[in-house]
Amino acid sequence: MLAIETDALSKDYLVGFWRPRPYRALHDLTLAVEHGDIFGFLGPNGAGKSTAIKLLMQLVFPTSGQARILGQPLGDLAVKRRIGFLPENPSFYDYLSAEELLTYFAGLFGIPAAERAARVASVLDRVGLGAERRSRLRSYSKGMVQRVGIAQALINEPDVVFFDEPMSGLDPIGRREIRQLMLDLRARGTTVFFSSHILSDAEALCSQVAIVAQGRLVATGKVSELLSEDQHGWEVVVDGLPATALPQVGARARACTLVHDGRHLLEFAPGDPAELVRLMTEAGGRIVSLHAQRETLEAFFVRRVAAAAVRGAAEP
Amino acid sequence: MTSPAIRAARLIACVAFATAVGLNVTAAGMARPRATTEAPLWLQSPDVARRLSLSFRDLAADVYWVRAVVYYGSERLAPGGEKRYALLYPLLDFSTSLDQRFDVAYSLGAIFLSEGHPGGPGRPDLALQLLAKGRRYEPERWQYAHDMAFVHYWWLKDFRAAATHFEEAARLPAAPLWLRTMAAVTLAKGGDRDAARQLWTQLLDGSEVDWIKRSAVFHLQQIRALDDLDALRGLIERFTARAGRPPSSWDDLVRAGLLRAVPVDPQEVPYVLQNGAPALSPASSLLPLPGHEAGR
Amino acid sequence: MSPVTVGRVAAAVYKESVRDRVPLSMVFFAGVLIAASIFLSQLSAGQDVKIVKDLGLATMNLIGLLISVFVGTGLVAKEIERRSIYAVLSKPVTRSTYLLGKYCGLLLTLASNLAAMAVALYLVLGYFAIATPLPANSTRPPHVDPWLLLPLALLFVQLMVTTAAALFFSTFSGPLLTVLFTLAFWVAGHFGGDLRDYGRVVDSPIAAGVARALYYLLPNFGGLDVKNEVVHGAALDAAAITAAVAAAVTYAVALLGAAAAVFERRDLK
Repeated sequence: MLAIETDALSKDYLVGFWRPRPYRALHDLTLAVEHGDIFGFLGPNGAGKSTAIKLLMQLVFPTSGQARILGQPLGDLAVKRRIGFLPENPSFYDYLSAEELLTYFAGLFGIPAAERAARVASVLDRVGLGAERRSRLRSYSKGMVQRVGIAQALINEPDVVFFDEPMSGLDPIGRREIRQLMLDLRARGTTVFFSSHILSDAEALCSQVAIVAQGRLVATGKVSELLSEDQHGWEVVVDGLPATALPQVGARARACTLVHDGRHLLEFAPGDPAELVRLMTEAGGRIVSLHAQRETLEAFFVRRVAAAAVRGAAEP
Repeated sequence: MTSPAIRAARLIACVAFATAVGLNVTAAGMARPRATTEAPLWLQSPDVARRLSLSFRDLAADVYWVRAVVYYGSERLAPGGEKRYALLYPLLDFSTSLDQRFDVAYSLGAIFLSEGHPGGPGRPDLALQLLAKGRRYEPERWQYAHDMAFVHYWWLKDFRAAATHFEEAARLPAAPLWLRTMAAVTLAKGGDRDAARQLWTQLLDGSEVDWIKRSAVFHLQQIRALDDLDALRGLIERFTARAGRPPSSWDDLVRAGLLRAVPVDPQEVPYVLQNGAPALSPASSLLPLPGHEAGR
Repeated sequence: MSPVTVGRVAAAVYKESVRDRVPLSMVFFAGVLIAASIFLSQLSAGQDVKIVKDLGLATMNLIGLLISVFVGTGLVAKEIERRSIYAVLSKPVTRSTYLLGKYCGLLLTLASNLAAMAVALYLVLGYFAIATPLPANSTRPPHVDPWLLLPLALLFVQLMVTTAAALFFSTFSGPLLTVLFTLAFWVAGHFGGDLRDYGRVVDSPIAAGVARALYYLLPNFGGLDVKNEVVHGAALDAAAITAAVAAAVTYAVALLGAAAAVFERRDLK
């Protein structure tokens, strides 16, 4: 059984006041998310990420297609007990404190009154909200509201969590904390489904990603698989390469740059890295680092999105 | 695909709505006994209303005017003999204070107010007060002077005052020529039915307002009924002289060739013969006739 | 639909609205106004207690309406606009439960606000009862008249319908339109009596028929307004009041049902 599956999920919104026309926000989205994964749902702003998550949360209803969470159709209250949701740019009640808000939500999950206070305190600790948890939400900064949003998504110790842009509004330290939190969740066996338009988050966290652009799924798979097809060379940093060996080694390389005295950065075409190591040592150099030169997710993303845009323009 | 929750909600909505409407109808059937107290005037002073209504003054005037008309209508048609009309003047006063050029409110309001008992409030004094207010704001408007003359003439029987107001009206710019003759007619034939007829006819022809026209038609019908009764009295005298006894029914007069059929009043209700004298049927809506015109 | 969940949503609404300064300050303003009527009534030539009662009841009416319309609108329409609703609806709460909870919470708020204002009114009346007691043989109602609770209770019934209307309108329109619709609904409810009599003063049978149909279809708040009778100590018609209350309550149920039917399938973009 999959944690989340969607089957040709589509959503049309009606736009225009006088003569509403359907606008397709999401087109035939088919996804499968395994248990215990951190699944990155990536795409530029306006690609349909939030629409997909709202469909899964039943905040909007699909025009066609279907979806299941934990093997159950959407809207099942028993499933809702086992999931958590952080909306994009969340907003709560101005006049409640974080503690009261979480106590309220804990009540909605039917968590017994005796456990509520401890549960609330523990999730607020996990997102790093200190004494300010007792003041009203209206006085919170955007980053603090974001942390409250993450806390409320975890109040029921969910099996599946949906985070819509979890990093937005956070400073670099906050981002690192939330990354760690997501890794901890995975360690406990929780499935994490998060959307982002920032690829470094996904590279650092995800085993699986899906990329959407203009309402369509453009790629899906393991980060490593999606990227291996794009491996296009090696990058070697060497120290102490004698000037005499340089022309010979340089002839093999695609590029050769002097970094500073005695240290060179060399780029090679794809091939066996062992051979490169031998070449360097025989020439008398000392290898500082050897990197696979691959397309970043960022570049990949740009290329895929551009391709989708071309396709989108070709078929109106 | 409709979930059971939605179907249940729709069912609840429909059943409850139908029940609510049913109860509404039931509650309407239990018309509360007319409260001993009048419906409230929320504001007690027209000046306060003027200030509070800000830039919506004219609209507020219209609201008060509509309230006045609805109030008059519902009082007049309410069951029970005695009509109170206690709020009529305040409502008109508010309306005309909010919109001081609200001519229909003055003219028609004066007609509403002076309408006699038991159908109307019988307050020609308040009618004059209202018209005087209109004249204060628009002294050049001959209609208000004319309406005042009319109230004096018809309701107060003060022919001298009526003539004075007619003259005042006639002197104002844009006054029609017939106003001049009207003053003379009023003085010469105070209480004369012809003069009255002329006044109501002018009102009927000159007004664009249905309510005024209707009122004029009604009073012209009353005057015609008075004429009819005079004529019938003459016929009865002739019959009595000829037969040596008063007629016992209209049939006597018909058989004697004095009448072609049973006479009917201008609203098609047959006249009755009471103790040898003709009269309007008690069922006639023309009752009560203005009394003083009984004889010439 | 679990009553416990309804209660929890209601409690949160109540907690939030009690802390929101807007309704609180309105209630405070009402208290001040009621207290100020002590001075106003000095100018009223012996009608002081009547004026205090009139002013007190009218103020409660107005403030109650404002809270019902503006807070009632904020309940759902503003929560959709601010998207705070997303988190709540992802919890194990059906939309109908959520709506009903919101409704009950606001009724709770209204009831406690009305109670606070009533206490203020009775305090002022108590002052008059001591300062200027009624003569022993007076036929007027007493100063501290328990019957004043009746117009207050009926006001609450009116507000039940108005709040249900605010909730209904907010399931398909934004906050501003909801405020306008709800106010229009309230005004229409108060024109009920005029609509019934409208047929007597117009000639067109169509217009009269439409007015009469509207009279039956709209709630009739006129039947729930007994302020005048109570202040003057006039007789009340228990059967008519009971019928009006029953009509109003079922009307509120109808509006809530319609609100739930619309809201269950609404896309919350």
